Amino acid sequence: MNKVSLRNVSKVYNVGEKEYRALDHVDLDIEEGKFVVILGPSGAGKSTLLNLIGGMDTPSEGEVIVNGENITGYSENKLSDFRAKSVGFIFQFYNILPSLTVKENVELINEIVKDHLDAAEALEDVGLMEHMNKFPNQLSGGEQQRVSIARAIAKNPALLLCDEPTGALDSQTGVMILKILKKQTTKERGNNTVIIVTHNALIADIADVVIRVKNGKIKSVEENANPANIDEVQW
Amino acid sequence: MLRKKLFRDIKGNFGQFFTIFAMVFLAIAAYSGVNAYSDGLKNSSVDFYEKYNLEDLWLYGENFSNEDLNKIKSIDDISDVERYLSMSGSVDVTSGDTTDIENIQIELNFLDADDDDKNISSMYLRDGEEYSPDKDGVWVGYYFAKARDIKVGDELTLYLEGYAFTEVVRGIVSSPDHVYTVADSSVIFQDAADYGWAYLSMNEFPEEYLYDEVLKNEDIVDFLDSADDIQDAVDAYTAMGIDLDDIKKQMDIDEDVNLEVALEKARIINDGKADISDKEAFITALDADFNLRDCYVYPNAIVDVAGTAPNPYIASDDVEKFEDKIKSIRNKLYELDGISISAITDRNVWNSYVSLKSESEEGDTYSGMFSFLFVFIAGLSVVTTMSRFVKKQRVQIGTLKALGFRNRKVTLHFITYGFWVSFLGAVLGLVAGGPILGQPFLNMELSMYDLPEAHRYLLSKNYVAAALIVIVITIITYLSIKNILKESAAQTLRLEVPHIKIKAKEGGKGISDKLPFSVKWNLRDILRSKSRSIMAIVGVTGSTLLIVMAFGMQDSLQHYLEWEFDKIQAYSYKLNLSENISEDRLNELLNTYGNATSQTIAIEYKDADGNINTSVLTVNDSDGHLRVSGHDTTTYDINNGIPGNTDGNINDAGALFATEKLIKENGFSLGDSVNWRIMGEDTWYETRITAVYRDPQNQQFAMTRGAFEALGEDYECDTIYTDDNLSDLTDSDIEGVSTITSIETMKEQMNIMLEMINKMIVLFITISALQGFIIIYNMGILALSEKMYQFATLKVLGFKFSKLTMIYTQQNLWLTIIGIIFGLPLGFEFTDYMFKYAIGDDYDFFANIDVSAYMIAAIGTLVIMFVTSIALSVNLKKIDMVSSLKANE
Repeated sequence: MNKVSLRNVSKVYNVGEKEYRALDHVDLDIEEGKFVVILGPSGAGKSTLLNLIGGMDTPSEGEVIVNGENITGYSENKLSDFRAKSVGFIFQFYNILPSLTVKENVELINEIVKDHLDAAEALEDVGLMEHMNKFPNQLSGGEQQRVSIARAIAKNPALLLCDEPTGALDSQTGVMILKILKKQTTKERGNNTVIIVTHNALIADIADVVIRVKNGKIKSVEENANPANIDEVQW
Repeated sequence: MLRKKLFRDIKGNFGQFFTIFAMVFLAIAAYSGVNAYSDGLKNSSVDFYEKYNLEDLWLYGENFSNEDLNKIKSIDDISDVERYLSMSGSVDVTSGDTTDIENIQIELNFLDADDDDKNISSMYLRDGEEYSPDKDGVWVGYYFAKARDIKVGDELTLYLEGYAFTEVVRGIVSSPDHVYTVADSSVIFQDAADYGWAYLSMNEFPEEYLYDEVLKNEDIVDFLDSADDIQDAVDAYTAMGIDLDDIKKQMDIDEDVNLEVALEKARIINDGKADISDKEAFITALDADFNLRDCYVYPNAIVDVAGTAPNPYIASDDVEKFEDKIKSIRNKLYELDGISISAITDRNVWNSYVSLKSESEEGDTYSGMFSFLFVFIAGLSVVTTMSRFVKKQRVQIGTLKALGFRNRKVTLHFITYGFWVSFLGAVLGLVAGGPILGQPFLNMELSMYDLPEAHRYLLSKNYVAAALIVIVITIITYLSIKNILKESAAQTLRLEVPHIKIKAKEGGKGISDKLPFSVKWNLRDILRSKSRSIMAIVGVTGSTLLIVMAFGMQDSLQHYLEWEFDKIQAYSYKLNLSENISEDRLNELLNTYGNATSQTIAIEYKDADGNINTSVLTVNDSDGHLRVSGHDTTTYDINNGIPGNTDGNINDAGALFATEKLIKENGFSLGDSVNWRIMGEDTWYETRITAVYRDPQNQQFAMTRGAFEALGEDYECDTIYTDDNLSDLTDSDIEGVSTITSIETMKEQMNIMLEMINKMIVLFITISALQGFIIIYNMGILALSEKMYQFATLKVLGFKFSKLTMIYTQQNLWLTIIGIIFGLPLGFEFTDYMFKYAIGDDYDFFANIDVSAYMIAAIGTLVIMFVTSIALSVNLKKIDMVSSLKANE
């Protein structure tokens, strides 16, 4: 079953009098429970792709279908509901709120989602129980990213979208983060779909599916029959 | 190259820089504008007084002779003295554009016929010919002439105590001692069309008046009374063949007397048929050497003290020395032998001088207080505006540093933004403030004060203020960039990530876990951004304070009007009696209008240091129509005393009532004895202050009739108070009454007087409120831009616009409420300060603000906050989550 489907999707930005086509008539299907890596150089359109899937942006043309819902024509409020219920985001620079403690950052989603995980459970999952009452500035980068993941998974989302989640981390911490993310695709964790955007080709080895993007087009979609063990990844 | 960047940045951020420019411009324009008018009024008056030699002392006596003048002049430090006769008369003038004739009160000043030069308070000729005692005609005060369209060459019919005479207008003049003229002290504001003044030579005094005065001479009265008997005797003697010379000898009549003519004219006079020629012939028949000029009476004299009076608006030793000199001369004048001086007053009690002085000084308090507020608010708005700008320029600063620009160069570059924009605002403020704000205010003042050649003054303090504000803003600009420059180039190249300084406690117990997310987040955000939060609170405090002031001043003025004109002056009409009213006529008036009366007496008293001051004593027999007020503005019939503020029997001989402000300023207290005397009398009384009362507009003494008469003094009322409706009557309709004043007219006059204050306050408050609004707006933008990435995160997480708006508005609401809590009482304090110090010394005002003013201020500020928050929260809807979060990377 397809978790995400893009049909003839284009995203055009107007820069001055010129048009910049970030995505150009893209068709894509991503199955449920897959660990997907989207690869491509800077400016290829991979983040745009992620943002359209996550309802953070709307396509100029085409349709975006997530969980069987066509979100293309959604209003601002409906998109907010969609992001709140269906999608968890993880960013390179964490984007956690500095004035809330670790636990409070995770509990934030209690404000918007009824069917959520307990904050403690999510923090347990990312190994941050002992830091739950600390503020973000008291944590390392890896720990902050784990807070971000805990906040994302506390929503119990079927789709986790990660934009360069290890980009600001060292190799060892990056591995730890990837492990946590990978764990989300297991049956035990609900068979969630995780999509990671990165320009780090080494991560591709551990993915179930590798999508390569260039100049706003899908260059290739490769199934990885034998994903590598995460512990073996080095960068 | 950086210069190009400077201009392009300013162009690109025009709105923000225009805000700084506008703030500085408004602050300096308002400050220099008010000063231009206030200093203009002060310095123009000082110049006028000096150039046209305003008198330093006024002397009152019976009749100053030439010999008296010489004695006065012989006192050291007196350089000149002039005498004159000032009387209240009336003049027929046309009414408005019609040909109807109106009879208007006019002060007629008959100048010394022997003095060729009027050197003290010399006339400023507006039109016509120079004054000379040998010329006939009249020189009319400029404002009255203007208001009544009186021109040089017009013939005026004047009346003096019932004597009519005509004079041709020879000149239209202004005079330093008639800059502001009122009919009497009860008139608060005088319309120039309703009261005039004029100079004319004593030679123009109505001759018949003088002859009639001569006819009141005791010997002449005796002659007239016995004229029939003398005629009978003369007839008898003549029948006996005795000639007239012998008859005169027989009857002990001076041989030079032309008895025939005298008796003939005496008969006509006694028959009441005499005209001026009969009277002249009669008097000349009795005294062949009679000269009318010998009958001239000069009860007024003015003195010019040697040296120039120092500028009273500049505190210096010279002012004190000059006052000491005046005191010393005053004592010497009283000690002069053979001269009867009943009173001596100086400039400090001359209404024209005092009124203009206190009006000029009002501007000082306004400009002082408001300029502080303006500069403070302008500073705050610059802080917020520059902070926004610097935040926007953060990456550019990092880039410049990365390129190798030194901190000094970058600092100088950024300082120039604040410097040039504020410099431009300050210069234009200095240029525009005078003509745009100062001139209209000056014109308003000059509609009341006849001050020739008055113009605006831009003193150096305005340049200093402008320079200071530019320096302050340059420093603020420097402080805005200082912290960023401390960072490394690499750090600066990243967008600022908010720093948390909160120390975590185990269990996160700093703020209760049970609080909702938005509360926790906003509380921590306020604590984290202390300076922004404090600025927001100060901005709201300022805004609330100004709204309280705007409405509070209206309330307080209204309260004052009710206090003075409803509660203290509890009557409908006041009749000021003519000086020469007969006892019979007075009794008739008392029978008609009631027995509620008072007598106003000029007195001199010694303060706690023994200095002699001038004041007024009102002997109050008004039967509760002219009431005395307690501290809380409750009023009482004077015969009941002031509950809680009375010590002793108020009807004891000389028991004084004194106003609160007067006793405070003179170092007295309830129960103290005061030395005082009626002006012109020798007897000094030492009597106790038995009651202290409060008066909003006159700081003086009062007394019951019983206490006054117990001193052995005669009570001679000069005012009758009545509740009758006299709206159909004019001043001249009641014989023996000089003016009829309605309480409603006084209220109107006071409103006219207060209009100027109101206009100025409205102007200042509008400007300040505008500045306050800009601060609130700036703070909102700043708060939003600081938290933009956090809002973007929340939006990505799925928070809806309404929820984000609620979170954003909640913090603004808290800060606004705190600001309001500070602003409301401060608004009261500022209003109170304005009333206590901005309005003249004679006034004892205080703020009296209705609850509605506080409600309007609180609700108004909240509305401004909500409108601003909601207007700004539209930006939350527009947050581009992708670019906001990417920007953070």
